[in-house]
Amino acid sequence: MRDPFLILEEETESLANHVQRQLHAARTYKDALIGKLERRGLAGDVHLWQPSPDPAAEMDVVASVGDTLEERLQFLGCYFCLQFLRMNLACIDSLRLNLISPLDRSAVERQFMEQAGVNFRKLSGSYMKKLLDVFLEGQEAPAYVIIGVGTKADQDDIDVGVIDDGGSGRQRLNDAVGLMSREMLRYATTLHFHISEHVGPKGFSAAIAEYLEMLNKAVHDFVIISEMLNGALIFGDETIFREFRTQVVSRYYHRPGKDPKWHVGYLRGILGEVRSLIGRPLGRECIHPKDDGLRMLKGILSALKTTHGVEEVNAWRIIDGLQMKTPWNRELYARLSKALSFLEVFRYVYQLVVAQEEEIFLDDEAMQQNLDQVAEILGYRHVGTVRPGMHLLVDYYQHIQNVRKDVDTLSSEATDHLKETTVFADMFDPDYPGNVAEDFARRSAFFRGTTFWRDILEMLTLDEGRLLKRYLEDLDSLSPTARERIVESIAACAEFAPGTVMAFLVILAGNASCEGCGALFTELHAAFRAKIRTVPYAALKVIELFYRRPQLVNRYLLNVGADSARDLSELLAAEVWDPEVALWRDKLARLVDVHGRTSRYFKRFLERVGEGYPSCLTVLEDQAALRDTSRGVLAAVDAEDDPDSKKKRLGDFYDLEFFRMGLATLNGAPASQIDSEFTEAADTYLANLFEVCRRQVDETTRFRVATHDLLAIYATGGLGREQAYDDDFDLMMLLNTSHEEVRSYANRIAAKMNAEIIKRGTLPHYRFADHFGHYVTTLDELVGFLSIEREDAFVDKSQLLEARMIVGTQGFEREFRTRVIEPFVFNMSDDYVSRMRDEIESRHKDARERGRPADNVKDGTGGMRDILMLLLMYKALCRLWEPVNSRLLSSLAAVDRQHRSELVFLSGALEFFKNLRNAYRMAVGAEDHLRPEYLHIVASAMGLDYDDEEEAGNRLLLAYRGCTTQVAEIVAEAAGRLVQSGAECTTD
Amino acid sequence: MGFRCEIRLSGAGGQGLLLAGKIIAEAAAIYDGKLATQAQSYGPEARGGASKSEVVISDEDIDYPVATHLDLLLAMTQESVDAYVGDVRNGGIVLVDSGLVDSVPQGSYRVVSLPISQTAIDEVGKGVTANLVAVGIITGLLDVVKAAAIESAIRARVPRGTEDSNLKAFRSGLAMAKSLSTESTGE
Repeated sequence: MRDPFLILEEETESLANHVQRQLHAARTYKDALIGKLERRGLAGDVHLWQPSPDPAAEMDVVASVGDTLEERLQFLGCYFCLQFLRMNLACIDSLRLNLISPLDRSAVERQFMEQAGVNFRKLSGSYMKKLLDVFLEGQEAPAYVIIGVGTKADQDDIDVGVIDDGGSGRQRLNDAVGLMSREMLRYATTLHFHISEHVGPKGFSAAIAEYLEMLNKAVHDFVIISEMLNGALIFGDETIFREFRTQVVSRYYHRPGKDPKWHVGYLRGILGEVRSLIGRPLGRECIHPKDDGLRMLKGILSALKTTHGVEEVNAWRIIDGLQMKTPWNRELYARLSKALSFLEVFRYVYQLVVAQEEEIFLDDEAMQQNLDQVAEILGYRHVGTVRPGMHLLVDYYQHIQNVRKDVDTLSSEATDHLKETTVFADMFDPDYPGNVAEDFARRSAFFRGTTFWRDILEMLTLDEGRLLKRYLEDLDSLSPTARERIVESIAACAEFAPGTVMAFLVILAGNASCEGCGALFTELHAAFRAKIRTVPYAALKVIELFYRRPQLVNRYLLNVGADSARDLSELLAAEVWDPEVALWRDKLARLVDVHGRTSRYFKRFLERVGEGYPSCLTVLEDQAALRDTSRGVLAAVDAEDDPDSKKKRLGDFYDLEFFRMGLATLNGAPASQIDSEFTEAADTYLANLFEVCRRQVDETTRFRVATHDLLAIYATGGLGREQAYDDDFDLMMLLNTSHEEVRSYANRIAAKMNAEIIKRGTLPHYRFADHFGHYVTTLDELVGFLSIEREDAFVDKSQLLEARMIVGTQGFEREFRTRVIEPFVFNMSDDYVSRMRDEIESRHKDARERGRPADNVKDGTGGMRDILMLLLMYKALCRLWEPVNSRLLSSLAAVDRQHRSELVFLSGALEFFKNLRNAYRMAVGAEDHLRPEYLHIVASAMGLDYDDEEEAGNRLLLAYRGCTTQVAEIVAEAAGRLVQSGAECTTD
Repeated sequence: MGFRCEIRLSGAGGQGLLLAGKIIAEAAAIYDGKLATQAQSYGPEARGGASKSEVVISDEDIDYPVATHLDLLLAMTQESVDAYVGDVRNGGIVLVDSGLVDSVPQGSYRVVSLPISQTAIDEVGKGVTANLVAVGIITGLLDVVKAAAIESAIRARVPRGTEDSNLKAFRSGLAMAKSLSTESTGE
């Protein structure tokens, strides 16, 4: 017969390396143990090579054959190790068998895990009890109970609590527990005494009175409370355990009519933890079943069991209990139960056959193979090119996704419960007799360290902020010292829950009109800034907050100044260990940077996008992802049922595109690219908006007015020239009919468009509307208007020359050109260019006489307008129809060879001005007058980096001024030439 | 009177400090015939990003498993140095990762600042083995647990197929500690 130990060694090769410890102990002591058992005739009473039906009884036998204490301990350790190895091998075999073709995989997984827990608890509990019996033999010790406070099947460590009756001989019990812990570390697994470490005197055990004393003071350590709530008796005095549950544990359950502070405090702690876990990013190089899903799942179960009075301690049975109590959540709990089974069994098998580690790195082939091994035990097989481990990971992420979604839902239910049961509930009553600010601070001291305050924040904003107003009134009535103390106490929450303080600040900022909000905002913000600098791992906390609630962080940044943005930047400069967290740190740093170097003009879009599409705040660097979002939103317009929703979506599309292009501008994208993209987006927006508004008008009139070839919308001004970021949209809505019904119809469409465009923060200007008194102008009206000779007619003609059709037909375009442009502009080009030349000269002269610096990028001498006016003169003389921009200048340079170098220079200058203007608008403000003190920011956005900020600004200003001087000279000379000799319009 | 050596490994979650603590404790208790306990942070602070593992090694029974007068503090973040340096006994050692810790408050202890994480990257190609580089340095600095015992504990703790890279990390740390000793002798 082969040596059974050799067989065991061979079989355990399928288990993880950590079983070497048990093999080492078994190898060392087995022969001595077997020898002693045989000599005493007890070999038949002990199972050494098969799983024992009664390990406790067999341990008595094993201990009895040791002649010395040391030998008894060695034999017990050896016996434990042999049983432990057999138990685990049997476990794997049983799981493999049951998962070959299960009818209900989850049921098998649950049953397996529950049985594995029972088996391990039976073996380890028997061992622990026997050890304590040995160490306490013949000694007086207090009554005690050992409770298990962790996952029953966990073999990596065993979390226990030791509760005694406080009687004499405590030190002996403590010594015995210490020795038991030593033996467990040698042969079994580490014991952890988290509860006892924090309660009572220095030692492993504590009495109920000591628990009460410690837990009456504060509630911040929700980990201890969770352990107590889920503690199960392993062995010892059942009376003490019952007393412990009655006196200590039951207080954390919802008990109507009794002081709720313990229950509420626990919920504030555990829900904060759950929310924080939901908000943690999933790793890219490793998975972590506990942090990815299990911990938040067990956390919410623990919270809800106290809410609904479920006494169970086993997670599956808690779910069963909650399903009974809240049948409307039956499906959700069924999903969670499946996820729990999957994640537990996966983690268990991984630890059994690969390593007793929580983090599972998947970054090399060895680990992939290990994962395949786990997957195969769990019934996954190779399918085509896909390895078992990959199949397992697909299921893993599906369950993780379910857990995160469902736990989020349940935490909202727990929030509603908190609102009803909170110790602050009486303060919500308008007739509350005390001082809300003072009483809130006093009562909340008990909850210091807890992180979940969403219920209170929500209450503050209800009923038009009634509670907030009362809070502020009461705060104002306090002495300055008392007020300062309260403000400090709120700011102190930043240590555990910076998001709560930020959310409160955002509420205060959002109620700036309310009396007292502004003052409290200023005080609290100053205290918060001071506090956050001192908080350990503040960067990590803020990064997690950003991952979970980018919208909140964005709102906070929108309401605070550049100094606070700098604070955050400095905070984020701290070293971050985890690469995934570092990735999110960089994303947040980008957002902070964008806040720190953008204009209010851009921030309007940052705010709107942040509110509607907060995920965009996390991909600021990714133009493709942002574009995908805006395209998706545009595609969703058609799917919306009602016109208002369609218009809302269209507005979102415009905002998203503006936001995206703004970011590109800040990153140095050239004006040619931005202009082109902006024009496409704006045209798409306006054309679609016209369609939606038209349909809306059709629905109200119940018939559609035929407008084919009769109606067109033209963009003029900046949008007509395909120029980005103008303050307004210059539009012309033209009709080729004087029919009153059509005009009325078109006017109603224009009115609806107008109302919508204004929401985007861009004013629509309808050219000629002020003259004719309605949005729509007929071609007849336009012809009549232009037929009257006026000094300033060249202004209107310039608008017409810049016009670019957005909505309409080619037929209309032909009509417009034939009836308006050709007779009044092209055929009168001599007069037009002459007046334009006069205007240029007049503007230059005026600027000289006033001595104004030419620092207005649009209207300054030698600025954009000079070049654009010159181009319009060319257009009129050469009868051109292309938009007025650098491309046209390049085309003209190709034709007018004699003045090619000047035209090429103007083309470059126009691009430079546009780049400068675009960057200025995004970084500083929507104004054309350049402020030298901000030009370094613009230089940075344009990619003109210098070491010294001031130098960068000065150089940009000098470059700009140098350019305008040359432009002014060239334009003045060219304008005169065009009037004198006309333009070279074609190549000979 | 026997000896009692208290070690605290501190830093951020994800740096493998709990595993490092378990390895040192198991090496002492299982492979080196000493007595050891290991405790680790579980409370809210651990959930807030901090990580702490404590090992007490002795040749006598250990009646209280919590470290209070540290013979060695390993700090892998600035926050952990700031929080725990006060617990280091006179003449104790403060070991910090020079890439992650900028400053150590002055005190009557020896400060050893070494590029722990960078060594893991340079020598093993994996930043996650920084914990075992640190275990190697601690083994060399304290000379309380035999290196062979630590290697056995490492083999028994890490996933199959990764033993070599983890042992390489440990040995890099051990060599760093030995070169420090040599430098000291040279002085």
